Amino acid sequence: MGAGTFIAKTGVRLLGTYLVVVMLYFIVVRVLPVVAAGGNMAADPLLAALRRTAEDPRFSLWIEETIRRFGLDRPLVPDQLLVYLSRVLVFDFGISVYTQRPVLDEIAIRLPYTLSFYTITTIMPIVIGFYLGIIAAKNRGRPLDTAIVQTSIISNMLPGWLTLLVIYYALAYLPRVTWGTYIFPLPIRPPEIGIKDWEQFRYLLWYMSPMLLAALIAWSGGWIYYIRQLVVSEMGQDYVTTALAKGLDERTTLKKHVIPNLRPPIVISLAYTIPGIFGGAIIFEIIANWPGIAYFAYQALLNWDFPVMAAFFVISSFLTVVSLFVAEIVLVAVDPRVRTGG
Amino acid sequence: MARAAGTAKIKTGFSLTLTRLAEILVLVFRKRTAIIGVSLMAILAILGGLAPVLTPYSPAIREVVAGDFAAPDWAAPPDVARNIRKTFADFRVEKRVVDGNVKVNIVRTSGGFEVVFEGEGYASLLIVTKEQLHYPYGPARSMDVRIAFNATYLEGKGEAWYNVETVLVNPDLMERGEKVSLEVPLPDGRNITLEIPRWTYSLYDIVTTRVGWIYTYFRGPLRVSAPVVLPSAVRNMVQPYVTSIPDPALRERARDRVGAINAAKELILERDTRIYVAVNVTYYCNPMDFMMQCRNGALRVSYAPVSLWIKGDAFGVLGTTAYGNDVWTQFLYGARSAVVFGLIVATVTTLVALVFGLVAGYRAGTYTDHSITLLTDIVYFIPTIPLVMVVGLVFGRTLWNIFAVLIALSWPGGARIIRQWTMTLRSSLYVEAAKALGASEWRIMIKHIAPQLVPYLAYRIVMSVPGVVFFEAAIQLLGFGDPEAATWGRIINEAYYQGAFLMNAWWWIIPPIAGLIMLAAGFVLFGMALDEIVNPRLRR
Repeated sequence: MGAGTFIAKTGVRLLGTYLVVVMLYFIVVRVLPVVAAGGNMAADPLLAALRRTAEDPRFSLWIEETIRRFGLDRPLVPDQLLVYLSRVLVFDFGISVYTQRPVLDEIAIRLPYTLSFYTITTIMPIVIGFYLGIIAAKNRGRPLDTAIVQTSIISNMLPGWLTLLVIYYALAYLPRVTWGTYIFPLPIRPPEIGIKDWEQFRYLLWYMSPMLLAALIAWSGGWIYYIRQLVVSEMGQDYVTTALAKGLDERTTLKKHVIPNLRPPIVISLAYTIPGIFGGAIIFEIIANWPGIAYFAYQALLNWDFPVMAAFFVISSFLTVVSLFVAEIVLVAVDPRVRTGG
Repeated sequence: MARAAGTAKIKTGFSLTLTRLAEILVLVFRKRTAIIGVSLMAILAILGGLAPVLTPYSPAIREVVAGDFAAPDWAAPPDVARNIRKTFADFRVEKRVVDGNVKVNIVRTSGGFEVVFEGEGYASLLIVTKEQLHYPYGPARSMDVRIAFNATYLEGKGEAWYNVETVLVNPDLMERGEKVSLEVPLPDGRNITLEIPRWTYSLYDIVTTRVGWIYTYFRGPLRVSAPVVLPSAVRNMVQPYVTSIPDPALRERARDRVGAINAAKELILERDTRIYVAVNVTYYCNPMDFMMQCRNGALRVSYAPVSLWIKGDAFGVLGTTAYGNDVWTQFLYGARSAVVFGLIVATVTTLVALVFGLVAGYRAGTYTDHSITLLTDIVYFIPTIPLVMVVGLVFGRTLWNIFAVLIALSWPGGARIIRQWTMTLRSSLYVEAAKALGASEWRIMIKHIAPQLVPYLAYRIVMSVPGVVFFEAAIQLLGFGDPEAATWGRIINEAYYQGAFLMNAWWWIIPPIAGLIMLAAGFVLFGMALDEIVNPRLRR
C-alpha cells in the first residue's frame, strides 16, 4: 500500500465520519426533541426559544419575520437538514439569530482571544513534558525521577478547571479579601474585545496569566509521564543497547536514536488531545469570563442561537478531523512502517 | 504469574474471573501506594455510607440550619453567636388601660394567650412573656421570629377596630436608654440626626404592615402567620420612629438610611443580654366617631406562642452556605454519590466498551468490525460537554441524562484497546481448542476471552472513576448540572457563583475540592498499582 493510497483512504474515512457527525448534531439538537414530542413542530427548541421572547410585545413581529427568514417553518428532515448541510459544509453559518450579525464576523473578533490562549496551552505542555520527561527517564530510579513522576501524576489527575479554581482562590480572592492586594485579577472584569492601547494589552496578559498557569500545571503532567514512559521503554530496546555498546554516550544515543523514534507517538497523541481541548475550553472560558469563542458559544447555547451553536460545533469537529488527518500524514512522513503496513 | 497461567487452563468462566482477581489483589496489596489509595477510598466510602448517621439533615431539602456564611463551630471564637432557639409560651399582663365601657376578659395566658373585648370605648393591653431569654454571645447577624395570631369577631356583635403589635424588647438596653444616632442627609446639604432607640423593635404591626392604611386601627377578621426574618430593610422602614416623622421628604430620606441597618446585630442584640417579646393589643369602638362607625363592638384575639431563633454565625462541623444550609451534610452525601455514581458509571462504560471491543476484535476484518470501528470514530468525534449541555436544555438537567450522555460518548477509548487485546487472544491455543470442541462464538467470547481481560477491565474501571466525578462537577460548574443532586459539583457550583470566594468562606470552598482530590488520589494510586501488576512491561 503506497503512501498516496493510505492518505486517500484515511481522508475518505475521516471525511465520512465528519459528515455523519455534522448531520448527527442537527438530528440531536433539532429533530430529536421534535420526535420526542410526537412530531410536534413547536417542540423544536429553536422555535420554542424564539416564542419565549414573544412575551415581550416588541419582539412579536420580529419573531415571525425571523422564522420566515431562516426558513424555520419548513419541514425539519428533508428541507432544513439539507439547507443546513449545504451551508455548513462550506462554512456559511448565516447570521446569528440574536445579534443579527454574521456568525463568522462574531467568531472572527473573538478568535484572537481563543487562539492566543490555546496555542500557548497546547504547545507549552508538550515542551515542558518533553524536557522533564527526558530528564526523568535519564535519572530513572533515582529520587529526581520519582519526584517528577509523582508530581506529574498529581497534575495529570486534576482537571484544569479545578486547578484554575484553586489558583483563583489562593492567588486572587484570598489575598484580595484578607490583605486587600492581589497577585492575579479577579475573574470579574474581562478584557475588552478589540485591543486599543498598551494598557489594555497589559491587562489582557495579566488577566490571562492565571488561566495559563492553571492550564500548564494541569496539562503538563500527562505529557511528562507519557514521554518518560516512552523514553524508558525505548531505552530498553535492542538498538539502544547496541548504540551504547558501540561506545556512544547516553546523551548522544538519546539525541540521535531515541528522540527521533518518539515523534510518531507524540504527534498522534497531540492529535487525540485536540477534541479534549475544546471541552476544556468551554469550562476555562466560562470560569474566567474569557471573551473567546467558547464563551460566545455558551451564551448562544443559553439563547438557542442555533447558527452560532452549529458554527462552534462544526468548526470544532472540523478542526478535530483536520488535526487527525494531518497527524496521520505526518505519521506517514516520519514513520515508514505505517505506510508499508509493517 | 506462572501459577495464575496454570490455573487458568483448568478453570473457566466466573470462577476463573474470581481467581484471577483475587490473585491480582494479593499482589497489589504488597504495594504501599495501593494501600494508601484503598484507605483513601475507604475513608470516603465510610463517610458516604454513614452519612445518615453522621448528620441529622437531608441534602435534598434545602434546610436552613443557621445563619448564612456561618463559620465552622470549632474554628470560630467562643463569643461568636451560636444557634439559640426559644419558644415563648407563657404571657402576663404588664399594663392595662381601659377607657369607656369596655369589658376586657383575658381567657388564658399559657400556651399563647386569648383576650376577648366587648363594649364601646378604648382599651389597650400590654402583654409580655413571663420568661426572658438570656443571650450570652456577641451580636448575631440574623434572627427568625415566627408569629401567629387570629383576630375574630363575636357572633351577633359589631365589628370593632383594633391593632396588634408584636415588639422585641431588650430590658438591659432599655434601662440604659441606649440609642443609635443616624445622620440623615437632607437635600439642601444639611444633616439631621435621628435618634433610634435600641431596646425595642417592632416585629409585626397590622397597621404599618398594611401600607397605605389611613387609620391607626384595623378592621376586619384577620389570620396572621408570619415568619419575620431579620435583617429586613422593609421591616426597618415601618418602625414607629420612622413612620412618625411628619415631613414626607425627611421621612423618605430617613427610611433609606434606616433600611440599611442590620436590626439584629446593631440594634437589639449585644453581648450578655436579655430579650423578651411584648404584644400590644389595642381595641377601639366609638359610636360617636363619624369615620369609624362602630356599635356594640367585640373582638377576640388568640395569640399563639412566639418562637424565636437567633441564627448562629458558627455552626456544625463545616459551617453553612450562603443560604444557611449545612456544608457538612452536603459534603457527606457528596462523598456517597461520588463513590456510588463514579463506580456505577465507570463500570457501565467499561462494560459497553467490552461488548463493542470483544465483538469487533473477535470478528476483526469483517463487516461487523468495520461498522463498529466507524461507530467508534463517530462517537469519538462528538464533543461531550456541548452535547451534555444541549441534552440538559432539551430533556432536563438530571443526573441520569448527564451520565447517559457520558456513558454513550466515553466508551470508544476502551473499546479500541479491548479490540486490540481480543485480536491477540483470539489466536491463542485455548481459543482454538474451544472452537474445535464446537463452542459457539459468544461462549468463546464470554467464557474464554473476557476472563482474560478482567485485570485490564478492573484497571480501567478504577482509573475512570475520578473522570466521571470530575465530569459531573465540571458540568455543574458550567451551570448545566442537576440542581437537586447532592454532589460535590453542586457545592462547588454554588460556592463559586454565590460569593463564597468573595466572602472567603473557606469552609464552603475547601471540602468539595479536597474531597475531589482525595477521591482522585485514592482511585489513581490504586489504579497505578494495579497497572504495574497488569502490565508488567512498565515495571522498573
